[in-house]
Formats: sequence, C-alpha cells, structure tokens
Amino acid sequence: MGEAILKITEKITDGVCIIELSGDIDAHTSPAFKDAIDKNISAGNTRIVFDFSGLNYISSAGIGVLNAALHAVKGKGGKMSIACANKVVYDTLDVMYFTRKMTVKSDINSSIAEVKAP
Amino acid sequence: MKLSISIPAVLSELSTLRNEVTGFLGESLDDTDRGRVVLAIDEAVSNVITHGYNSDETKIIKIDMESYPDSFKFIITDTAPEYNPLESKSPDIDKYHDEGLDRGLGIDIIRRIMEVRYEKNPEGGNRLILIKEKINEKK
Repeated sequence: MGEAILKITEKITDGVCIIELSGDIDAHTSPAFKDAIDKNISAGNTRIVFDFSGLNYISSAGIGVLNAALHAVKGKGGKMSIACANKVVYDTLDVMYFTRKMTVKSDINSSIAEVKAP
Repeated sequence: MKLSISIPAVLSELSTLRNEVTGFLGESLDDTDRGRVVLAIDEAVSNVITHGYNSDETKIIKIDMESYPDSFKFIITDTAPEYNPLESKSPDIDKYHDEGLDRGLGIDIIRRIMEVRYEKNPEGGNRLILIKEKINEKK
C-alpha cells in the first residue's frame, strides 16, 4: 500500500476542457489537481468538465480546490461541471455542501452541454 | 477488536492510513458510512500533519482503532502544540462559497460525521477521540 496516486488527463473538445481524474484527491495530491486547473484557467479555458469516473476518493483539500476554481471561473464568465462521481465521492461532495454549488451529472455529455449552454 | 498504527507526519502517508481504516471497518458499515468514517479520520490526521506538526516529518501520529458491538472508536494521539478542535467556530458556508475559499471545512466535517471528544495528551500534545455508532450496520 503506497502513497495516493492521482492521474490527471486533460483534453480540449469543441471548446470545452475535459479533465479526467483517476485515483485519490487528498491533501497530498490536491496541489497537482490545483495546478492542472489553474493552468487551464490561465490559458483561457474556462468551460471545464471534470470526469470523476475514475476517482475513488476526495477530501476537503480537493473540494477546496474545486471551490476556489469555481469562483475564479465564474469571475471570467465560465462554467464548471462534474460528471460520473461514484456514490462515495458524491456523498463527500454533498456532506461538504458542494452539491449546493454544482450539480453532478451522470454522464459526460450532460456536463459538456451544461458548460456550453449560454 | 483493536488495531494500532503509527505514521510519520507526511501527507503521502494518508493513503496508507485510509487503507488501514477501510480494512479495519470491513463490511460492518454500508459504503456511505464507511466512506464518511475514512474521510473523518483522513481530515483529522491531515490537520495534525499540516497544522499541528507543520509537516515535520520527524513527528509521529498514533492511531488506535477499536471496534465494539455498537460502535467504532478511533483515538488520534500527537505531541503537537495543544489544540482543541471542539473550541473552533463552525464555518460560514455562504462565505466559503461566495469568496471561493479553499480550506476551513475539515473540522466541521469531522464533527458532523462522528462524535468528537478531546483530551490533552498526558505526555504533551493532543488526543482526539472519534466515535461512530454502528446504527447503519449491514444486516
């Protein structure tokens, strides 16, 4: 049992930045998550979809990164959406009040449509 | 059943901690409650590493896990400066969202998931006691 691994894959599809997360986002791995988001926001990619289908765990450190990013993205007129969170990850988002701020879609296409909507 | 582990104050150890806690809980709780307990322990130990020990890798955190017929008890012991999380204010959630803050929810989450007790460590430092009743125990 080694340290947590977070794999981050990014792609731009039809003007939407899709960030795929696989592994765990905790206090150890959240800086890498933050760097990936910040890099995209700085590049002007402010319509962002997070594909959580490979994500096993998220702590308050990861949700803090999402919360700060949402604030920054909204400030630039952009949007964010989360797709495919498993039951435990969704529950953590809910316990930490984040489902009050962002809906969690059951599939990627719904999230893409959400961030592309005017 | 009891299990005791000690980890250095390094954030990369959190994954090992979560695996140990998950294994200790076994199938006694449903997926959601098991995930919440793991989250609470992770948050508590993260706070000790980051704030209590200021990520001093020479420091050690001891986690005692105890299973009883009706509850789980976790005792997190450190030698960091005394800090009673029960004395911290509840966070302002609206401010957290409106200002895009990136921290400040951890202790509140622990208190919402588990019963929390605090004692001073007789050897200096802190003992945080987290209790989860097995009210959602799988049948």
